[in-house]
Amino acid sequence: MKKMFTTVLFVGLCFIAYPQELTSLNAPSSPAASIIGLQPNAVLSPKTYKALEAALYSNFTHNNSLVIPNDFALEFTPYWTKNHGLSLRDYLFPKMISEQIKRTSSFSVASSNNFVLGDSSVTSVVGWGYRTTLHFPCKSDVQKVNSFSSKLYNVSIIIAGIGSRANAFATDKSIKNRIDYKEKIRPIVVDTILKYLGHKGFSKATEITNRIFKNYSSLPLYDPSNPYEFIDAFMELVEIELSQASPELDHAKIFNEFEDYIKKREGLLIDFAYAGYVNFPTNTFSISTLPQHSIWITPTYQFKDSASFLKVMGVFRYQFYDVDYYKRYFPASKVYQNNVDYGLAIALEYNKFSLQLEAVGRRSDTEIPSGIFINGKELYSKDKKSDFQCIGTFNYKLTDNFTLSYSLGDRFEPILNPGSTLVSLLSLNIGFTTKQEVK
Amino acid sequence: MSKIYRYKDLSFSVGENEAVNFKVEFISDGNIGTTTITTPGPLDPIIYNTGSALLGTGRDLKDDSTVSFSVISNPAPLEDEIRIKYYINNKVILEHVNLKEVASQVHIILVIKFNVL
Repeated sequence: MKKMFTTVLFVGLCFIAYPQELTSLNAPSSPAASIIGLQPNAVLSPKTYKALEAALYSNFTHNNSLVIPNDFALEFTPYWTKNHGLSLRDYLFPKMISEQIKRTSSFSVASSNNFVLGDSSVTSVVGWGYRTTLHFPCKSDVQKVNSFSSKLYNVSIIIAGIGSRANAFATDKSIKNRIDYKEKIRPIVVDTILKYLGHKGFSKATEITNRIFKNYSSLPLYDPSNPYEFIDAFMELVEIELSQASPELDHAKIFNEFEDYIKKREGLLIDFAYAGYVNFPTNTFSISTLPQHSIWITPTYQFKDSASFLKVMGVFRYQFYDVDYYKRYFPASKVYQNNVDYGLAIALEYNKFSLQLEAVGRRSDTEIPSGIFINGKELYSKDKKSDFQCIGTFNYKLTDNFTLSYSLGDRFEPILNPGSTLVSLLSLNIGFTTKQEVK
Repeated sequence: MSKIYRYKDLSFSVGENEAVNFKVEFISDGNIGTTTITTPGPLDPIIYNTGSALLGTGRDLKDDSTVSFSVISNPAPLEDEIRIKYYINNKVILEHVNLKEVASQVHIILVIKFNVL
């Protein structure tokens, strides 16, 4: 689920609008929605080709005629439409770059009927996009994955070892009550833990076993006609006492930490994305134009261990604008044909505090016909512009949904009020969520 | 705590001297886990992730139920289900599936009665 933060309150000291943040130049999670400026209420994520067909057919047709749906966003990742039986190791460390591209390639489509042109007329747009991500693990990432995996194996061997015997006793007719069951299961518990700890761990194995059986009397009564209620309660007690005996035996905690780590793995991550859109300025399918194409390349490096609070992020974004389209439909805006944004950001995050320092450069140019050369070839001149901004942002997380931010720096020169580039902004951000619909 | 899925009415027919092979196959992606099998006979094998093990012959298994206990976790962010197939002598005896939004750490217990022909 993606979280986006929308500013609802700000106290500006001497400026009129927000700086363009480097994070907003990152490869978007849904390039198609991003390029048409859509913040959809829900993003459809079909998991099968049939669901994809159904989603496209039901949204893009009405009475057997082609229509453009409003507020529509869809993302589709073909690789994950079927199971591959990948082990966790194969899942986390694909051997070839081509395999990574195959797995992370996602296609997006978005559309809106509320695309407003410069003369305030409302038109329809359809955007499309592609995104893929490459991860280059560092040595410590491999070590951490191995460490988490072996910890999970170790605990699962103990739990499965005790669990299979504990369940096998369900058919043992000689067990009539909790005392009979305890006599049978206790040696199994000691032996299984001992196998994990080795012979030197006999006292530790006995200590853990004693912990388990200290609370044994709190279990429900053993009913030979329905022993599984008792066995499940016993296994729950085993898991609880193992987790309290040692963090190395806390299956749920190891799993949760592993799951969190996978979402924020160390190493270099490079996002590639492309998006374009088609506009129907007369709201008929007979006239359409392709006003804009964008390409994003955003490398991010997540540092390890004691420097894990530090992240370095780069960005490269190229945008191509159809100048003739913008001259015709957005006459008040000055748009360049080729626009390149490039920059670097350093983010530090510690508990509730975070600080982001970023510097972004922008170069824009348009080729303008300026005459005919003597040999008959057309001559062009370039209308160029370059700009630079550097911003520091300090955030303090008040709660999960509220963040207080202060930004200071020098931003891009705005189209309106061009002299005003100083940024000094105090804001309170409230979190909202975009619903992800799985079909 | 892990969610328990128990399948206790499974049966399989084998010959008295027929070798019985038990196989666990991870179908969905990114699973990690261990399966321990307790048999009435002398063999109590352990299978790591996807793999197979010999349980003995029909004669070894006929006296009581055989219990397979799998402790499975799935921390893969792009996978939304845990799907595992269990085989005896290459025949599927059970396909377990649960959505990860229900549980991403599960105990899957199979109680199998072997009928000796």
